[in-house]
Amino acid sequence: MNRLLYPLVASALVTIVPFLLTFEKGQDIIRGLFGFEEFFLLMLFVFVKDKIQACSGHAPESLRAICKSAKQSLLILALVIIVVALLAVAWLDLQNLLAIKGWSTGWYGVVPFVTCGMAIAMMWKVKPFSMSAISFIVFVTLITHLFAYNHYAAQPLSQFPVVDYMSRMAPKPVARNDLSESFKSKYLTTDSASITRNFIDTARTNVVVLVESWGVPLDTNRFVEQLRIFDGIAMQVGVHHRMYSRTRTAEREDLIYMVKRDSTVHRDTTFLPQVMQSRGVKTLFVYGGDSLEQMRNRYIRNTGFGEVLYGAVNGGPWSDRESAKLIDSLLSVQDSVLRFIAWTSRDTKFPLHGFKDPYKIDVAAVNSAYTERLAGTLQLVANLAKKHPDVRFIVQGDHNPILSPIKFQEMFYKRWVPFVVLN
Amino acid sequence: MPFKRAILFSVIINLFFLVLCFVFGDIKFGAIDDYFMAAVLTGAHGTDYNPHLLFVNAIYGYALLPLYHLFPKVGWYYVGEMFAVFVSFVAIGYVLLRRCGERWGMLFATLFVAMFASDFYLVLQFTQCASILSAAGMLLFAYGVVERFAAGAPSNDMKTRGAVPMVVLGVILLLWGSLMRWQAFLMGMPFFCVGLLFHSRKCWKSRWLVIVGVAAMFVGAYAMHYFDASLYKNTEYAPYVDIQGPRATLGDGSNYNQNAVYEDLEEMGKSGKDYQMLTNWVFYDTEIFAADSMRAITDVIAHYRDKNERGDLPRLLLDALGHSLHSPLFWTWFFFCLLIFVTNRKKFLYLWASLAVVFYLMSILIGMNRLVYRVESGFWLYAAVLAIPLWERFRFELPRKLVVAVVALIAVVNVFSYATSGELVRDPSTGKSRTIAIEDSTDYKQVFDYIDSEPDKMFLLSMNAYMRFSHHKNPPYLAEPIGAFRRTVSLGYWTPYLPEITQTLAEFGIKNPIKDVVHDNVIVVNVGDMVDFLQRHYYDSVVVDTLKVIGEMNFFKYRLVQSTDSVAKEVE
Repeated sequence: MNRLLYPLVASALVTIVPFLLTFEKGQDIIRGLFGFEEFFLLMLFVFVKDKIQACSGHAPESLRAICKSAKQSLLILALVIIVVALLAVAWLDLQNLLAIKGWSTGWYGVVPFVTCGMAIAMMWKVKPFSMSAISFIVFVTLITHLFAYNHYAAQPLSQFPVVDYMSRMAPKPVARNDLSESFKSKYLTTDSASITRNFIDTARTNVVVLVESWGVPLDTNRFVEQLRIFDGIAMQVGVHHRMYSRTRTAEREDLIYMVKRDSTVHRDTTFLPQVMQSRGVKTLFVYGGDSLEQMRNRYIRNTGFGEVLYGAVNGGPWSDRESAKLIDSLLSVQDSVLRFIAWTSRDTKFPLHGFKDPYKIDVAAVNSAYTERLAGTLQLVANLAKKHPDVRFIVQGDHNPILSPIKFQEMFYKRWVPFVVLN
Repeated sequence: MPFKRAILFSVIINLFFLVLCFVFGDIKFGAIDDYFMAAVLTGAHGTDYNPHLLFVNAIYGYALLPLYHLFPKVGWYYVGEMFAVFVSFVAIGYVLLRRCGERWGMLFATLFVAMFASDFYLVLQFTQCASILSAAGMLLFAYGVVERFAAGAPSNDMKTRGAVPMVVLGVILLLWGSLMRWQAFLMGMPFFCVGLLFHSRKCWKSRWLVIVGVAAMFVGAYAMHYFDASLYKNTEYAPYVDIQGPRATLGDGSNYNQNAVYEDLEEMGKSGKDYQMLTNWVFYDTEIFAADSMRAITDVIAHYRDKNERGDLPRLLLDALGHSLHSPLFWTWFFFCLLIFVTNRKKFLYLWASLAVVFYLMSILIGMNRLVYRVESGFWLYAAVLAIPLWERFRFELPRKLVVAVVALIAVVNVFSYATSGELVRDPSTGKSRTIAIEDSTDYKQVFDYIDSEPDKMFLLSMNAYMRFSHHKNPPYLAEPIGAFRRTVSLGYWTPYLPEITQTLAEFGIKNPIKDVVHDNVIVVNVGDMVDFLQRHYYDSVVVDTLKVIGEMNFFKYRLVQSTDSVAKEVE
């Protein structure tokens, strides 16, 4: 069984040399002692090489000779394929290693050729294994590796470059939980749930706008494009994190003045409209749709608005344009009363109006419709703010787009929404 | 080894372990599903026997009915499954003894049964039953074909004549396996094909036997499968069948993004809380949770299933193989393949062929995120058992005394280990060692007495309470008497909408169980948080009182109150 050491040592050479050459102090790379795939290919190499030698050396004899030479050339082809495969495996192994370290190939590209050459040279004189022996050895090696790995995962016996490579190349889920560093350096980011309370101006009339499905795009340029609508009037721009992607939660969260917790589980929430109302401010909630939608009928009344207007029962449902018009007319009233108006938009609500199955629609079509409608709503808000410069506007997204094709959802950060304070 | 002697030895070995299991083991079903299928069969939910067993073919139920009529006290469902395991083990032991001769055979057969007796007898379960039956059937079939023209056998030898009955018995066991669980039987078929392929020459010699055998198996299996399916295609069972798909998706699935589903449903204007109730197996509401509305939810789930990328598959398969090393059946396969290498090197390729089939089936299950220990074990069982006919004669003979000593040692060690830890079994879903009994301080005698003391009340149970009840009613070898569960109906599980349950509910004036919990004659066990749901969908104002608490069992009474327009409470 001494000859088993040759392929073992040769495959270990192919695996370990690049590891040693790229070794840095303190690196944390778990790596097998020998390449399983190389090990198999090297044994196969000897097997085929032996067959070629057995073929040649006989006196040529017409038909049989032709057959034989055909067989021989096939075997030589097989040998070439094995060598190429060996090189490919060693190359992938090197690339896997470099990918972990984030290095470019550079002169390391030579290493697989050298190690594979040495490995083949080592195997040149080794006596061949029979096919069933190879089969047996490969099988037992595999199980030994797995058994050892189950008990001591810190040092695996073998390395599987092709498996690692395929796994490395498999598409990874889009990372959209955390904002990118470049984004964070550009915009104010906060975990705060009390944007409205922080930016409300009690000496003025305030309009709190909750923009339906306004999320933070992974593509920063797209965000820049959206913000351009507010050029010149934006006092503060940023993004904040929400716990849930629900319109209802966002609607309530944005109206919270404070939450009192006593020693028991009981929670007592005071809402901004209640506070405003008690200070003599006229409070109004506007929603263009039906009161039953998202069960607003059951919770909006608890937030203490003096007046609640639903589009659906007032000749609606209203589009955002109609809601904006209503708010405009209210803001245009010339009196000394301060107002607090909350408005939840609905043009960009998913499933988008005019599309059938929310999940199976064309991503490009949804994307362009969404972009257009969102820009429309934001423009309405911007126009209002420009027309009424004495009014404070606090504009926020309720959640990133959901209830839409997954590919489309993956264009936005999860649970992050923009906020813009105007005037 | 002669036929009769082999049978005798195999039976003795198996009886020995069966007795050990009975004496020291905890006699329970390995899965609650089996308990309730047996209960459905004996009419525990209604007034008569009902062979509609949902997972197990109704033919099994029909076949047991005469026995139930003759001896109504005996749990024939359990006896039938035990018998199935016993017959399968005897068959495998028999082939081992014939194949390897008296000494090696004795050793292997004893080892095999010693390793798996506890897994099968003490975790008795329809899926495992189906696996072992199919495995034994395939083995007998393949072995019969191989032995028919065994080298050197005279034409009128015992072997030749024994071949046909063996194939017939194999087909019968396979058919029985298909009754116990259709999918487990189907998953065995690729192994069966590969197994027979390695005997292609011998199969060709007995081509008529093989063709007729395989044809009989397929025709029989499909005929019985379609017969079973046809039993559910009527108006009586339509609501029951309709609910099964959504129920399984909602109750079993954790392989999808539950948060995203919740939020999308809210965005649609549906209640996320309703969805949470469904995932907690509270769904027996014929209006709000009608099959259609449940399907609307499962449609959303379909879009958020966890996906495995194709490129990750080799890595996942390697991991799964590594995990299989914890399964004794894997090592059996490993060892049996090594024996092929030792005795019949030409056929060693079987190893890679069977491994390929295992990988193929595993990759399908990985794709569905459904790879569990008992299914995986089934693969190794099939692959292992079909290696046996590929062995050739063992050239090295063991000394007789050694065999006797080793077998005696195995027997002693097993008696000791069963006596000390007989109630420990391997969990069928994870493979970890545990006891089947559940820690529960409740005094169920009090619970059942209380239920009996309220004879005109209907008790609606949480699925968990319903399952707990099963541990404290009759042991599996006794039949659950007719009507034993009549007044205790689960709000979840696969029993809702069974016709006999619908009828019982109707007799108590209940049309829609969850909506009607406010009726005077309904008491709810362990579901105390439905006020919100009831107010959201049906009533203005509902309150819940606790009638009684016995251990972990809480008895609730929901009732309507005059809606006082008091301080409106927040929904959140």
